[in-house]
Amino acid sequence: MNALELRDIHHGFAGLQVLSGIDLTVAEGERHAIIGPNGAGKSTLFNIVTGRFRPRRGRVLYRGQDITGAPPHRIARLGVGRSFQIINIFPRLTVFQNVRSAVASRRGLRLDAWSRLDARSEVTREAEAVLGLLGLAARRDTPASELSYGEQRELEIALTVAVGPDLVLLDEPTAGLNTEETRKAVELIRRVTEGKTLVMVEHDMDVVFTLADRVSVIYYGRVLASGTPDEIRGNEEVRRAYLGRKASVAGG
Amino acid sequence: MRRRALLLAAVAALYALPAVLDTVRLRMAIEILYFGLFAVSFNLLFGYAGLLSFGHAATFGVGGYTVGLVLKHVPGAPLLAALVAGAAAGALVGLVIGAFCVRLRGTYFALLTLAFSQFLYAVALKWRAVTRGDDGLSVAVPDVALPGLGVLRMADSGGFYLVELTIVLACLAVAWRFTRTPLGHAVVLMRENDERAAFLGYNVFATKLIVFTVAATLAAVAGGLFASFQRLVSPAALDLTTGTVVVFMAVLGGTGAFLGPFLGAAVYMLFQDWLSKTTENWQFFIGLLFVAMILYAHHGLIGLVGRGWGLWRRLARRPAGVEEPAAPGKL
Repeated sequence: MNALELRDIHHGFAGLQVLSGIDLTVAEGERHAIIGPNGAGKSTLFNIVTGRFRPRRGRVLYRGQDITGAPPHRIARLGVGRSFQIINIFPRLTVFQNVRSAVASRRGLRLDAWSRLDARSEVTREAEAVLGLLGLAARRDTPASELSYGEQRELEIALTVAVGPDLVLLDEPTAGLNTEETRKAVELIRRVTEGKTLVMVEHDMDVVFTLADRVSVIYYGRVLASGTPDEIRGNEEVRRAYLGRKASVAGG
Repeated sequence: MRRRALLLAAVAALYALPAVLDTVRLRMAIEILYFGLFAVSFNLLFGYAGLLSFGHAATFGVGGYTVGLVLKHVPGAPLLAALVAGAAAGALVGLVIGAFCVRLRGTYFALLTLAFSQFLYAVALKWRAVTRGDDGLSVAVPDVALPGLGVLRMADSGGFYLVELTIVLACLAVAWRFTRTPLGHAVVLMRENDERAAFLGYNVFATKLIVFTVAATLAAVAGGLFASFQRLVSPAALDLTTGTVVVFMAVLGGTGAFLGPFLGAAVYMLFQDWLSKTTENWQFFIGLLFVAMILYAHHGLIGLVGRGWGLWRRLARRPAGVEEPAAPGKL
C-alpha cells in the first residue's frame, strides 16, 4: 500500500493559484524529496497533507484512507508527523518538556486528568531516550529559546519523531544550517527515520541526492518530474527549469 | 518532606485563625478566601492556558445566584448541596460559553467573554421574577451540622470561616492536582504554542474547553461562598467591575505561580480596606498600583518575593564585600 497519495490537488490564496493539479505517490518506507523553486507550493502541499489547509480540489490519501480536510490533531494521531520550515517549538518550556509533550501525546495521555505526569516514569524514560537519540541529552533542562539555532532545528525534528509517526514530513530541515551542521542533520534524519516513510522539502541538492530514494520536482504548482535521483539529474526539462539555475548559482 | 511539613503547618495555622482574630479581621479573612479561590480559578485560564477572560465574573455570579435560589426554593437543602448545585450550574454555563469563546484567540476571546458576562448581567438585572433585579436576592444560609460533633452556626463568623476554609482548600487541592496531570500540562501547551500542539495530536478545542469549564466551576464555588457570606447576591456579582478586579488580583499577586493570584487577592483586599479608611479616593490609588505593577513588576508580588529570596540567598552564601567569581565558561 502507498503511504501517501495525492490526487489532483488544487489550492490557492486570494486569487493566486498555488497548486494546480498535484499528483504524487509515496510508497511505504520510501524517502521522498520534494524540490522546486521558492513559491512553487511545497510548504502549501505539506499544509494540505497535515490538515492546516483544506485543498480547493483533490484528495489526500494516507495508507489508502481519505484524510482530506481532517483537522491537524486527527491526522497527527493517525501517524503523520511534521516539522516546520520556520522553527515551531515551545520556546519557554525546557527541551525535556518539549519532547515529553510529544511523548505524552503518543501515549494517548492528552486528556488524562488523573495521573501525575511527573510520576509517569515510562514517559520520562521515553522522552530522555529521544533526547539521547538526537544528542540533546546535555541540554535537557535548558529552555528551548536558549538553544542555538542548530539545536533548535534538532529539537524541531525531535518533536516530530517523538510522536512516533509512520510518515515523517520534514519541511526544509537544514534551512539556515552551515555545512558541518547540515552533514550532522543528514546523519540524524537518516537515523531517526529508519523504517519510516519520509517526505522532505529541501533546497540543498547534496542533501536531496544523499538522502532520497525518489525525488519530485514541483514547478509552478505542478509536478514537473518524479523519479530516482539519477533520473531527475538527467532530466533535461528539470535542468532547464530548476537544477541548471541552481547549479549556476552554486557555481557562481 | 520539608515542603509537606510546611504545608501542614500553614493549614493548621489557617484553621487556628478564628481563635486569634477578632470578628472584623475574621470577616476580612473570609472575603480573602473566596476572592482568593476566584483569582486562582481565573489564573487557570490566564496564567496556565494563556486565555485572558474579562468575563470570569459571569460564572462567579451564576454560582452565587444558584446557591441563593436553591436555598430559597428547596426547603431543608443543606449548604453543601447548594454549593454543589452552584458548581454544577457554573460548569454548565462555562461549557456553553466556552464552546463559543475558546475557538477565538487573544483580543477576540477576551471580547467575547466580556460580551457573555454582560449578557448574563442583563439577565440578572432584568429577570426580576427570579433574581429580584437590582434589589438583589437575599440568601438564607442554613447552619452546617457535623455528625457527632455538633452544629456550626453560619451566622457566626468563626463557624462560617471553618466551613469555607475546608471547601476552599479542597478546591485549591483539586486545581493544583489538575495542573500536574498530563491534561494540566497540555493546557500549558495551549498557552505556549497551540498550533504546534495540534500537529502533535492535541485537540486544541477540547483542551481549552475543559480548562475553561474547570475554571468556571471553581469560580462558581467562590461565588456561592460569596453569596452565602454576604447573604445577598445582586447583579454586581457578575458586573464588569468584578470581572476586572479578579484580573487585577491575579496580576498583582503574579500569574506565573499557582498561589500568586491568591496572594494578590489577599493583598488587594487588605490594601483596599486600609486605603478606603484612609482616603475617599482609594480607587485612584488602586489604579495607580495597577499601572505600576504592569509597568515594573509583571511577574507580580510572587515574582518580587522570588527575586528578593534569590538575592538573599546569594548574599547569605558569601561574606559581605567579596565579589562573586565569574562562573567558568560564562562571561
